[in-house]
Amino acid sequence: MKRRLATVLLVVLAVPSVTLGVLAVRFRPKAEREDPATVEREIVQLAKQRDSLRAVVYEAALTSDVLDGQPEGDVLIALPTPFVDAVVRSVVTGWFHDVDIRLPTIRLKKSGDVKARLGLLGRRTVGSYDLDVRLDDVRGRLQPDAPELSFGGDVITMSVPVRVAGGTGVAHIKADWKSRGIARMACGGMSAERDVTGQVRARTYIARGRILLSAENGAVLADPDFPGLALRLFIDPSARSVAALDSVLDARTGLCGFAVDKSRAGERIKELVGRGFNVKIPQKFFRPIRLPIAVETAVPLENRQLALQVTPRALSVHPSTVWISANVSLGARIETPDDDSVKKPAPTRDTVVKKSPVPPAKR
Amino acid sequence: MLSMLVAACDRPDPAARERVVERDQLRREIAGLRTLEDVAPGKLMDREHEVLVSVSDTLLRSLIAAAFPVTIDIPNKLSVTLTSAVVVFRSNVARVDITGHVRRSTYPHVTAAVTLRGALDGFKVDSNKALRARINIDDVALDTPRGTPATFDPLVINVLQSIVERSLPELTSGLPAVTIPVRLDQSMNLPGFGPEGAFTIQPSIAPMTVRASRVIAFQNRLWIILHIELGAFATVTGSTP
Repeated sequence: MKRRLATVLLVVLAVPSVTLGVLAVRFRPKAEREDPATVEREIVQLAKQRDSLRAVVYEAALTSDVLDGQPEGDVLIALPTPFVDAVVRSVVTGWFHDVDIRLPTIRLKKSGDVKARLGLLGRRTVGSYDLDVRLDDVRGRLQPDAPELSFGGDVITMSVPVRVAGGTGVAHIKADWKSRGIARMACGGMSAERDVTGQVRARTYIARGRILLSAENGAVLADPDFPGLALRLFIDPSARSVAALDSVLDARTGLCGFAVDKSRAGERIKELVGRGFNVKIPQKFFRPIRLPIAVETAVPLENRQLALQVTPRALSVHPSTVWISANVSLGARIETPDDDSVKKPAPTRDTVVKKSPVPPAKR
Repeated sequence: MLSMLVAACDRPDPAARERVVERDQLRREIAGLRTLEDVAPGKLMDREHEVLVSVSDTLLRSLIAAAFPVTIDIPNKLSVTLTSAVVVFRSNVARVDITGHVRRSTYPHVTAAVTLRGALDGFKVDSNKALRARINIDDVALDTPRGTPATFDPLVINVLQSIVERSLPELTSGLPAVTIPVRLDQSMNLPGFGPEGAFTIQPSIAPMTVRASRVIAFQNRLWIILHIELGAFATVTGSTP
């Protein structure tokens, strides 16, 4: 009887003890699964390594001129000037990249009397001319070269070489000739019309202006200012077109031919077109740049938005760095409609994350 | 059997635990410092393609604190409610200690205090132009909560401790992400205009890739180095939004 009782007692005590023991060994905490001496040695080695690396990195950070002029603020954004330079260059190139210019219809007119020395009769008016040039379709294309930028305070001054690349022009030319005096009897009137084609002369212009940097809602705004910028397009009429016009004018011979020659109509047309055409580049062409990083006014908080009270500070421009800074404090939480739903489920097993009741917003 | 019983009843050596945590922290610090030194030896950053974002420890603490409380269910019918977090900068790492309690759904009134120790890690720019970081947990410590009558027995806490440790991946993935309040555009846009005078300009866009490159904590601030690559501008066609 006693033996049976002892056995039962042993089983009753032993089974839970063994179970607990097995559980304890199986679920030993991480710290106990590692050899303390090995961990200790590792710590010593790692600490030395950390200290040496930290000294190098801190030295680099503290002596770096990138941090020159570091302002106060809860959020700071430091844009090294080479970065700003690269972004502005890229945008400036973007402004002029493959821009097509198309001049609206332009009319040029010139008229005048032609006088000639007619032997014993002396210098007489032999006729008058009217030239009407209508430029219907003048096109050009802009191509930028690398801009030159220089930083000074919150202003970047720049000069951008802009090349007017290949373009074409079509002009409708009407030349009227009215003979006068003696020439009227021999010549009468004459009218010629021709389409003259030409090439827009390739030429490089320097666009000079500046970009003003300012802070706007926690972002850096670069506002370009290129006042009164204009290009002058020159058209060189093609030799074939000029020859065609000349052939009409040269058709007259004798006194009539002499009078028409004196009008120098061909030359005058070339002069008219050769002065070039002014193309004003509107200020709108230089579109403002917002640098691609800014202080945000709200942050997502799982299924909520946490509004932030952002007080931006003035932009601070130093030779090495452009600083944006802002003081930020937490505002109200903005609940989204599905706020009561279960939060993002964990990727494995039966883990589920639930949002706990939200305490009152901090202000 | 006796040794098993001793193991079961014995509380884990706090010093051993601290040593393991210390070792893990050092590993993390060294990994971070190495990336800083390897990428730009002695220069901190590549100034043409990198920018710095810095957040004060005060703001970071507020942002992390605002994300709590949160409750995470883990295997074995355990529920971990995390109520508060403390951020401490050490070397180049923002250490985060989170406190709360664990309870089993079958005994909802019995709890154990839990402390998670980890660090802000895995900074990345998401598709919503936000710079986010995760809290990676290195260590879990369970204890009997003070001043609470209904608490688990120390023996049970040991077992729970191990279960929670094994659920670290689930626990980590359930922790809220921390969003740094900066907006990072992923493209630059030049609006079109015209026709005006001789010009009709189509809008153009340049793609931009932004990624968090390295992190350093000093001067009571967290500094995140972002690498930004701006592509070439291309005209936006009519069908492109």
